[in-house]
Amino acid sequence: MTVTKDTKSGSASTTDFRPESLRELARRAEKLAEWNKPDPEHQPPLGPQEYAAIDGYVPETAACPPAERAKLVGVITRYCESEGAEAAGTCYTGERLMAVGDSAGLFGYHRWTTAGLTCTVRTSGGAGSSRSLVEDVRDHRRLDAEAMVRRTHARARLSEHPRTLEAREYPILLEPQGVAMFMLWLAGSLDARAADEGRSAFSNRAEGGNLCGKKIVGERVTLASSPSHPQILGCPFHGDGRPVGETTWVENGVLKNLYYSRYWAQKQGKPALGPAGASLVLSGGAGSVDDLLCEMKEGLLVTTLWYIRSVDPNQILVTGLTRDGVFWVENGEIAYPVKNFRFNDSPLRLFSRVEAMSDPVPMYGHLAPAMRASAFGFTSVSDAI
Amino acid sequence: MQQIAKNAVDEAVRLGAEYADARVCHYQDQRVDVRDEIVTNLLDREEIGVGVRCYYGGAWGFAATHVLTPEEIAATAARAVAVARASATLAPRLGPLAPVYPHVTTYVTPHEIDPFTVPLEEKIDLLLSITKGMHVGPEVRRAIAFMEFTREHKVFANSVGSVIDQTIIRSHASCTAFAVGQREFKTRMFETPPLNIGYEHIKRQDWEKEARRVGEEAVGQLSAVDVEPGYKTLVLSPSHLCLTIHESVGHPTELDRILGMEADMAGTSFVKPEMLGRFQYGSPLVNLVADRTMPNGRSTVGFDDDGVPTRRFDVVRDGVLVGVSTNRETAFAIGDEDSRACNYADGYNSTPIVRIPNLCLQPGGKDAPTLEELISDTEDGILIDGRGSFSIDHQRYNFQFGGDCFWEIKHGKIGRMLKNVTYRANSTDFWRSLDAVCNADYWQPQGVVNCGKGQPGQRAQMTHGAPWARFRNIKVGEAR
Repeated sequence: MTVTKDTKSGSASTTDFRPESLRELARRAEKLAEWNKPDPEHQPPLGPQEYAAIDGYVPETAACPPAERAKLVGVITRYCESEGAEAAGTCYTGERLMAVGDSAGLFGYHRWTTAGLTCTVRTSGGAGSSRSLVEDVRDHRRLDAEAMVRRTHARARLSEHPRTLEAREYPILLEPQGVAMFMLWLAGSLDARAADEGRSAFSNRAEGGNLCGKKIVGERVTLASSPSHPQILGCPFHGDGRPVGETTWVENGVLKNLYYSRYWAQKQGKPALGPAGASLVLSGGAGSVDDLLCEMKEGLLVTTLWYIRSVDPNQILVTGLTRDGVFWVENGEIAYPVKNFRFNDSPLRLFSRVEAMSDPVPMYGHLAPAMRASAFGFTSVSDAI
Repeated sequence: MQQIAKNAVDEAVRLGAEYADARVCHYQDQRVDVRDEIVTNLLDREEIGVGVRCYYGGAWGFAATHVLTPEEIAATAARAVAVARASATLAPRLGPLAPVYPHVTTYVTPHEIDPFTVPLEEKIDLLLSITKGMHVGPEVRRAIAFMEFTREHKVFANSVGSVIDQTIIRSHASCTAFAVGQREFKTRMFETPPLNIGYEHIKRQDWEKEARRVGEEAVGQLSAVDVEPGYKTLVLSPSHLCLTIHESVGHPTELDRILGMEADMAGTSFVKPEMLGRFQYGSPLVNLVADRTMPNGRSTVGFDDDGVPTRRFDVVRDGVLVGVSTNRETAFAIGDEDSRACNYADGYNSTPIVRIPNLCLQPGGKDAPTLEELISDTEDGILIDGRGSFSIDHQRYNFQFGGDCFWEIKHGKIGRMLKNVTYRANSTDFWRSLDAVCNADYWQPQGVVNCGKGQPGQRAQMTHGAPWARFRNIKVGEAR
């Protein structure tokens, strides 16, 4: 709860929902507001909003008992035991709800279910390893443990005895998990105020302001928020009560929109939008990962990107490592496994080098495709398996 | 709180648990954020709930609730038992749990000033003076600062008769300046070493001096010289080394990782149990001690979340790996009779797992150099202060670190400011390249406040004290 008096605000939270505790919560927030100083950037309460009707609640998933989750896990552990491999992972089901309201009449309520299954398979002696994941889907009946463990085990076997390749730039076929990671790094940088104030890769250093309307990545790339997408069914509002609209952030490589807070939107005369990280869809391709593989002359197939951290936000340069299987591809086929790499690269560079993308698939509550790009910057080799 | 914990344990045992424990936790957080001349956040967070854990048929079950009625607590205990029974149908039976003995006691973080008694006006005024102090010139376009205080009151009870009442007090403050130039922007940050301590920790800092320095160094970075890639000598500050210790020693020596229990997300480790006592982890100057009893350490408590008393143990002695972090569940795997008390859950609704304890690089003896002597003894090197980019592979071989600020060292003197410095190494190659540590006067208890691990993810906090230290022949400048 946030209480504001004369633009002075205080916030308090509790997990005790009894009426007397909620009254105490209000008193705590009010007291903080009294202590605070006026906020020249304060915005009045939002008031009533219109939200998309999104049905992301599956009663069977909300009611899924532990024994049913154990059954899915059992499929994975028994298969790996029979193959002499080790399995690790998680299976979760649950329900969530979020409600927002304010003294000017705002009210929003949304409930949804969530389910996921992750599975890492390590073959005998840790010789090979791979991972598959389905995260944050609404219906747990979509979790196919049998197919997941067979695919993951096969790839773990395929990753055994990797060769060492020199670290340098290579053409890459990046599977959806890695593309999703880079998509999120890009989306996390789409802040108008940071750009306008010179603290962003999207600052227009030559002319001032930001790079809206400019080409920032390859023209195959279109990035949008789409909470109503049937494969996402996301929350229709942000935590502050603003609707999560259908918003195009990047269209055919051109930066179309940035996240504007209510204050910054008012100051700059723009509509308040975003933040940009909700219910993302990266589109522009078609077909499957295998289709992209078939058309690849040579390069690296990368399953997963991991431990990605910022190196230089001026260019969204990030570093991280590959994981769960890297393979050298020749003439549309996997030739042999190779050791993991560290990379230093940027979504701006990667997305500018896109040659082809698959249809996007669900990933962490978003939709991301596999992507084939002409180059990706690997800078050292890792011995990790 | 004691009765709630005892009731939950009794109910789980009545329903068939072979062992049960419960944590009733009451968390109070206060956070104040300011940006330039504006207070952007004034938050008072309160959370209370109970987590029930039980052991049945060789498997754990866990459930939690924030509704503290007798009916809901009984239902939560029943859910924990149901989860354990379901898990027991397919989990390989865990090894024998290390013993836990009954303790009825209390523990409170030693502190002089309860941070929750300090008027908010005082905190706000101090933070606003800090952001004002960072605005040293027009290039500083944004200055932010925050303070954060926590009181964690936790009552642990278990089915062997323990009732352990602990109150942990945490205090932390930080400031960051953003400088904007023609071609890029740069940041510089300062924070109090994160400790379990009272408000006296905030009062002891010379904030005026630190704020000005942070502002000036943010601006200085705009005209810093790009580092020339190559193999370099590095002189690393305690505020930088804390993260290197954390990633390249702390995580690889968590026994649950070593055993593959975190393989799906956090990863495994290059360390194997058979390396204990014989593996050369670092140079003979490397001595790393784990200690959850150290005064004011960020993970210092009386008892861990298994109900086991905390202790001190060596992890690396004279460069040789001699110890790993354990809990009751994992200790058997290295033949230990007792847990090393590294179990921790970040909330009432999180199940405890092995977390890195306070883990500190020991300073050299009286003959060890001062910082000035270390620098004057360095012909050609780079001084790195503070934390920046950090990344390491899932078995903890290959890491790459940045920093917050960098200077060239030439002919024994600190020279120009550098930028775009990253270094990359294999964990043990790095520690074997350490050739000097400063004496105890140059040791600081820095630490980490946002260590992520587990599924679902949990946050842990711990101290990684270190002296200034020097490392030879490290690859620099691969990130471009």
